[in-house]
Amino acid sequence: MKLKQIREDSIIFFITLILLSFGLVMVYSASSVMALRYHNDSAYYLKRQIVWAGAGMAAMLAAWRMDYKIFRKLSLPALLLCFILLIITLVGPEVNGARRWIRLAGFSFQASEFTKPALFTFVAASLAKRADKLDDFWHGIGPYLFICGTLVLLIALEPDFGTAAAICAVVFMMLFAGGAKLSHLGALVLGSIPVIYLQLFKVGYRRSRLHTFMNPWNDPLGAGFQTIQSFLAFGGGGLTGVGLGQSRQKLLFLPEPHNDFIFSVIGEEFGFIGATAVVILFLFFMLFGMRLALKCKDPFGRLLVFALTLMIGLQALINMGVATGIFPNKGMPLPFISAGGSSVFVALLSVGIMLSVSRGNRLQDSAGAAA
Amino acid sequence: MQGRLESAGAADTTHGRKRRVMLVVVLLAVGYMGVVAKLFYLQVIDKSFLAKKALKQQQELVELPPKRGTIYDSTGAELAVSVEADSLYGVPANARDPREVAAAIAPVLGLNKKSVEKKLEGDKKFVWLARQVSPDVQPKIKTDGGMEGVLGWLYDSRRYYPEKDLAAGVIGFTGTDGKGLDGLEQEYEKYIGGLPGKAIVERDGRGREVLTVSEGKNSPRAGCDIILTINEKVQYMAEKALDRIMEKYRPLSASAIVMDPNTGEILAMADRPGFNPNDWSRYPVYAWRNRAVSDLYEPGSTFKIVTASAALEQGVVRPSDIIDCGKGELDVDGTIIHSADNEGGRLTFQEVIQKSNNVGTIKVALRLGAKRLYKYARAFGFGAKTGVDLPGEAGGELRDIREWSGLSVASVAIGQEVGVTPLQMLTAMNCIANGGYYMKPYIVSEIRGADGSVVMKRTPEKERQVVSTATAVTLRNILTTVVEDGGTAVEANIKGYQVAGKTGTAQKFERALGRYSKTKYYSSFVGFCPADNPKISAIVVLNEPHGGAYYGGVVAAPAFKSIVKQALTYMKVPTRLPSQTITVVR
Repeated sequence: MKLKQIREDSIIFFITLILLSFGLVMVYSASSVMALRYHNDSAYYLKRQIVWAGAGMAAMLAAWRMDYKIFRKLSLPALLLCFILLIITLVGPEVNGARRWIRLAGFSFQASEFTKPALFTFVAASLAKRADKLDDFWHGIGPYLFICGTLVLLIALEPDFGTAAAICAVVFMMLFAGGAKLSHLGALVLGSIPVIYLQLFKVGYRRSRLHTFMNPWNDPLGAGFQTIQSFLAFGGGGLTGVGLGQSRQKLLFLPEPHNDFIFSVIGEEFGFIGATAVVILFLFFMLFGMRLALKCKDPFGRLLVFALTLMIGLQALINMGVATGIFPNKGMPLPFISAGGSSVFVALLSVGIMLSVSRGNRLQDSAGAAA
Repeated sequence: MQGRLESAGAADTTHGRKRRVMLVVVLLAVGYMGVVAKLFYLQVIDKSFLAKKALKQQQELVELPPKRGTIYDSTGAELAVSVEADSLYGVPANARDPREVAAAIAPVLGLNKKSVEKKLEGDKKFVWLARQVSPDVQPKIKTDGGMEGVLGWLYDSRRYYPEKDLAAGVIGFTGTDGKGLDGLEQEYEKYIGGLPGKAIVERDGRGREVLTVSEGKNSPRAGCDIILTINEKVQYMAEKALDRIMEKYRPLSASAIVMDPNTGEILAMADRPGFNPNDWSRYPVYAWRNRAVSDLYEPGSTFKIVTASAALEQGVVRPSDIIDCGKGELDVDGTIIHSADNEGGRLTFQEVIQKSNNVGTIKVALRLGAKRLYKYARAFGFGAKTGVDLPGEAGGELRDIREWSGLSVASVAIGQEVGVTPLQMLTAMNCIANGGYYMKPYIVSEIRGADGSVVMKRTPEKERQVVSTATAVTLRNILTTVVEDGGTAVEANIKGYQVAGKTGTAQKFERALGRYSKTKYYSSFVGFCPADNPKISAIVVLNEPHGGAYYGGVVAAPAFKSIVKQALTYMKVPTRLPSQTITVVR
């Protein structure tokens, strides 16, 4: 029993390390040409990524050492702070038609990323405490709808519909896994259909993305450009890839080759074998994360680990799904790998929280065994 | 484990929740498997189709050149502009008879028939045939009829320098690919250059290859405009003064810089030999050099401003102190050093600087000591790049004090054993002019986006205080005597203004002989005006003047005078009233 648990957190830890270090290599490979061209320094993105990854590792190790019960107390103030940061983000300067970043001392970060762990911890804590009230729709699910809705609305206003939708999905799944009534959840799904419809079909660029998704080859130079370029990267890579640093698609064709489409560069440079290996690493991360959740006797810890695992697993799935054209085009970073400070920091912090829950759980077990 | 969980809570809900988690796991796992399946399809099953297409597009991607930004002087005059000039491309895949096409166009374009023919062979989809074709040649080339689909025009731009050789060494030039190769064109490439657009060659309905230029994200983005601190008028004055020097003294090369000593702005920077950037490839490589920042020379006596300000600041000498210069000779560490023309006698320190007496300067330097002299030389910016925003800047030579010999303190005190750029020397002189501050020199004051938005606006940077304002003012007063009767540069005297400056006449070190030359000199003058409230500072440096005259006060000072006098008038700096005198701070 003890042996089994040690294996879980060490597996999660090692998968994280492998993905993180592989990510640094890929960020450099995918961005160096562009960085040299636009920033006069081929390691421009790499340096930033290293700084954030270092900070993320520190946060992870710190969270790991902490008693995870502390997160329960921290969640409400953290959530309020995120709420304020999200509002600051919305009044901040616009970059490429969106307000997603807060700039501070030469670094910029995304408040929406930090909102994820804060919100999930809060929902986990409160669901664990109020499990008996879940049967009543307005008193059980209502408060979550309100809190989650407010934050998601702020994020959707940036606009960052992808992150907003991902957060909704995770909170929905938390309610589901936390034991909410299926009829309530069903009502929720029905109620959100008009919203989803409006979001997908009434906002111009999303609609065109969706149409492109249906058939990218219709407009290879316009809307279908990104998807097709990604396909060509994968095809060019073949079974074994063209080799590290040899991607040609990253040079001019792939949009955001170090970020949204880094998986395509991996596919081109390391082929089917390399890309599949990355998918399998994420799959194992998800499986062992979920097993960790199931082993938790404390409902708070269980829901927390469940949510964080799901968040990382879902983001990875969406990113890889977009790159391979299974999902419509949606900017979402690949956890641990894509260039993006807030994203890598929050992913590592989340792993730290998961490991902390695992440690707390094990301590409880041995205490229980001693008793 | 199962049993314990069940005893912990209600058995049915625990089981139910576990089932729900498992359902989520299965959903995600199915998604992952979907990714792997799609990867398998893209990378194994559909590989050859996609890989071929990828390769084709990579070969058939055409970069559309963006419009380069304009370079303006501080008054808005255009120094470098891009004018539209279409370029001719060919589609070899559509050319059934390359020889015929080549025969039709090569003579008109002045190109080799064979090489044009060779470019048009094979089944490539795009090839540039002639970049930036002049408008009068364009109508002579047919792109319709039999040439339709074989030849075509694409927008391109050509760099043009309306002022020709004016400030050419500073501005630099661009290559045939439109990228900056030298000067500011190179240094600010990432701003001026813009972003190239993309076009992809595709097959049309009739099975012919056509170039598709898409709008929006893939169209070229124009570069930023940059605005210089250079003033075209002052630049012209400097260029003319150098032309006269080249004619009269035939030096190997010459440089002149004009600055605002209070801000570090470079108002003019000129070099000879020069070149016309519209035609840069016809000039020898050495003509492209921006000598004012790239060439090192031994400054000689101009460097005495460092020795003097260090000595005054450290209190080892006062302007009125008597220095015994003996017979104009001094034994330092076994080497006899002479003053120019072996001038000696008892001089005040002020006279030592005024007459540029070597023995007197060295005696003061010995009181100061090597350590302090070295410290001040560093503080004045010698031995390190100024960090000016121009490419190819030399850092100068000032050996680390641990490598100094017993003679070094004497040599450095009179500007030997050191290598400086004209810009370093003038920047050091600016510290005296502006009351003691090292102002970082710069040449680009503003970068503006193609839409007119301000991308960067430069403000003067006060890097450090080198000497106190009192010391700077004292030395300023001493330096005004240099251009007065009894000084080394009466030729730099401007009627109606008070000039402060210093001459330099340094024997060139001949490496082949291992000693200083008796006939080859670096002659220079560096100064500023008006002395009590400096508005302009300038330096003129000649490398090996020929024809007998070589003293800095004779060959460089008149050029300094001509530039500064015109610039003062142009800038409407009021003349000194006859009754007005400067307060001398002691």
